[in-house]
Amino acid sequence: MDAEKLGSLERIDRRWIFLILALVVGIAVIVEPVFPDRAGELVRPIFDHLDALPAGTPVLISLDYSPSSAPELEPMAAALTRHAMIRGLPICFISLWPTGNNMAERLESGVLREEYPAAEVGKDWVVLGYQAGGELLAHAVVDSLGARFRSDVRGVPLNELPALTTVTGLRDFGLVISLSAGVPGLKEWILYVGDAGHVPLAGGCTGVGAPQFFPYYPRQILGLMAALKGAAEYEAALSARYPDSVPATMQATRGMGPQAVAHLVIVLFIVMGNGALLWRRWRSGRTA
Amino acid sequence: MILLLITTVLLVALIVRSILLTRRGRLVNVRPLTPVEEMIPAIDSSVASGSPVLFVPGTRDLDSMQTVAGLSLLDQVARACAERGAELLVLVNRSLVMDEARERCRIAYASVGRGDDWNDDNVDYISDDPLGFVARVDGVIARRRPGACFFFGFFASESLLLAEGGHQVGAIQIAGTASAVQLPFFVAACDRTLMGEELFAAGASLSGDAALLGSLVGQDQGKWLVLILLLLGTALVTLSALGWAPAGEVWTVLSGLLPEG
Amino acid sequence: MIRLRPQHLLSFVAIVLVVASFIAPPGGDEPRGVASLFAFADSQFSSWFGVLAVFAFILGGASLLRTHGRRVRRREGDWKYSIVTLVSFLVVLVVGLGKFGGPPGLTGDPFSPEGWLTRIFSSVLSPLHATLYSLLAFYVASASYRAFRIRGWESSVLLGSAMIVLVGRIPSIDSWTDTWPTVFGFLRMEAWSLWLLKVPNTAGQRAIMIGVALGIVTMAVRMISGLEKGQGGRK
Repeated sequence: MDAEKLGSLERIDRRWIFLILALVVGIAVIVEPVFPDRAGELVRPIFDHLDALPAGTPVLISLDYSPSSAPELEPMAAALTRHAMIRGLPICFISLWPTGNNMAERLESGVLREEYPAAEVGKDWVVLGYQAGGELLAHAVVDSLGARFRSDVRGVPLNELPALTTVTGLRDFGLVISLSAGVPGLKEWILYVGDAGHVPLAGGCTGVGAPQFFPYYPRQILGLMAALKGAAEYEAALSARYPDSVPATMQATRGMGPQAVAHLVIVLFIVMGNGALLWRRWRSGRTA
Repeated sequence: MILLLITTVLLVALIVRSILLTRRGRLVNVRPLTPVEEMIPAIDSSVASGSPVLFVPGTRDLDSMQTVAGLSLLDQVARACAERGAELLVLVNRSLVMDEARERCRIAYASVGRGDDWNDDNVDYISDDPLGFVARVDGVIARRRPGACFFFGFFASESLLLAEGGHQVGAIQIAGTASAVQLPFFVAACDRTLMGEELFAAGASLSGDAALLGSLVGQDQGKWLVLILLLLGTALVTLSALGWAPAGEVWTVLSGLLPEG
Repeated sequence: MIRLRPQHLLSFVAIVLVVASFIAPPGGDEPRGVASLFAFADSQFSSWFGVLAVFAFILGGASLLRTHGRRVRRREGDWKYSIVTLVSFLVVLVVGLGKFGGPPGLTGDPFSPEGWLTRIFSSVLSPLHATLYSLLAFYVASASYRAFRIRGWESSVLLGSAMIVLVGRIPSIDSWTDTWPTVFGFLRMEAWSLWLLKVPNTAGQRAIMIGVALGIVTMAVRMISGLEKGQGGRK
């Protein structure tokens, strides 16, 4: 191969990379390839824990993300919501972020009301919503939800919500899950609730944030869903266990098709660049 | 909690002791930080090409230690820019940081007799929204084409957006953050990166102030203390697991002194 | 007579907060006596900073209006973008303060779903956020292509780790490696990927955490003692 052409593979203009990536991912989005997945070592404990909870045990999901992280975290929230609905576990949604109320509203309209029309707000799920305070909010409700929440977002007092009749504080939930895109988020739940309050805790996070939570597994968190892959693994576990109760292909699994393709394109470019680099070195070693 | 208190007191004592010793004339030999050493040449390169120098002190407010560390580096960068006649642009996304940055730059310029050259409008408050901030910073980079970009402080997902923007115009980029998850992006996209604790040490290193350098010595001594405790804990747990009862007893006593969790 | 300087205030508040974290830690027993004073200070000082930051919005907003207004008046570089900035700022400010479309009055929720502010958030800001976020995918590709090169042993290790994690995180990779002969089991990328994240990554993260904590303590000592002259310690 011509040395100059080969050398250009080492210095591809980034606009070509953008264009090729956009084309390939765009085609994948249209074609919608589905790659079967299965729950890995970090996701399986969350699924198994939730699956083993007796019906009627409430779970708490903290929606600590904004719309910019919703593509990664909302599928996790949706999968957890479906799992809880199938198992008959009342869900309590709260948030440490101001955008949490919007995120809960999206889950209510997109999953709960659409797929579970028989489910009732207040009985099968509750949205306590956002309160200011960050990690101090999480800490304050360890012993008593009422310390910071007087009612749900509709204004119904806590003691009139059937979903929370067995709940005083966070320790009365079967599982607390934080879906976290930053600060305050999963780390604060670990520091102020999981460790200090001895509350069973699991987490979901964006891909970028995942490496910082691995040190906490498995002692402080029983499992971790990392990025869209984690959500897809949870969906895979859900589909495998309850194939008739969930949509055939869910959001994260659909999204992993284009993502897998993108990974392969990036790997290809890296291999190409290094291949050209090694070839050039070999050639210059030969001619020296 | 008691063990934590003792460790903290020891650590602070080591730092204070080192500061006092260096103040009394004890020489300090601090390993040069390559990113710090390359900051002045980067500013010189900007002057030579007639380009401005861009500085972003992170995207957190003044209550973040990373922002404070970034601003302590701004002191030095502003002084260097004032000495060399380089135009300094500081873009911030918090009002309090804007105010503090303006004051620091004003003082830095005045300290080298160039007080009249400083314009407060060179510190621009953009938006509290991090992505809106990044969009503007990238726009400034694309239009003003700085010769050097310095990103020091806390960054979230905007780290790669900023670094790629600077790379696109061929700027020399030096970054530093204590956010471990953002370090890979800066390492991949910037020329030099200060990692973790180096961000907090950089201001002291660049200033050359004896007392500040002394604090770095104390910090390193504190690291030895932590290392000893780690090795001690590891040894006790290992020996206990191998069946040596005294090790287990000592470990039980020590772990009872730790905070819960 | 000692003249009170900002440095004295900084040192006093910092020492109170440090002491409070030991004698009235969050998650501990209800503090009593002197400890309750420190706990009160701990909770209140953080809130006061939040109040200061809110008032600082006025400072920042005024600076924004002044800077962009001047650019438009003098037709300085990119003054048309400044018009966009000013119009957006004023529209959202008026809509938010006026609570148009939502429950009115002082107690009306400015973030009600039917309010214009919420509609601006979901129709304008959210898509813009998503757009900027999506740039990351392209930038990761170009940065990876540039950075992961076999230049030396360190960059080769970085390249190898990146390739393992990239490939190991592809869905169905484990279904494919299930079909391999057992003798090649040690090459399973998904297992190597998980090992990299659980072991070397965890070690590195913990090391950085410890280093950062030490750096913060050192920085705090410098600030409390007035060595960091930028923090009100200026002579």
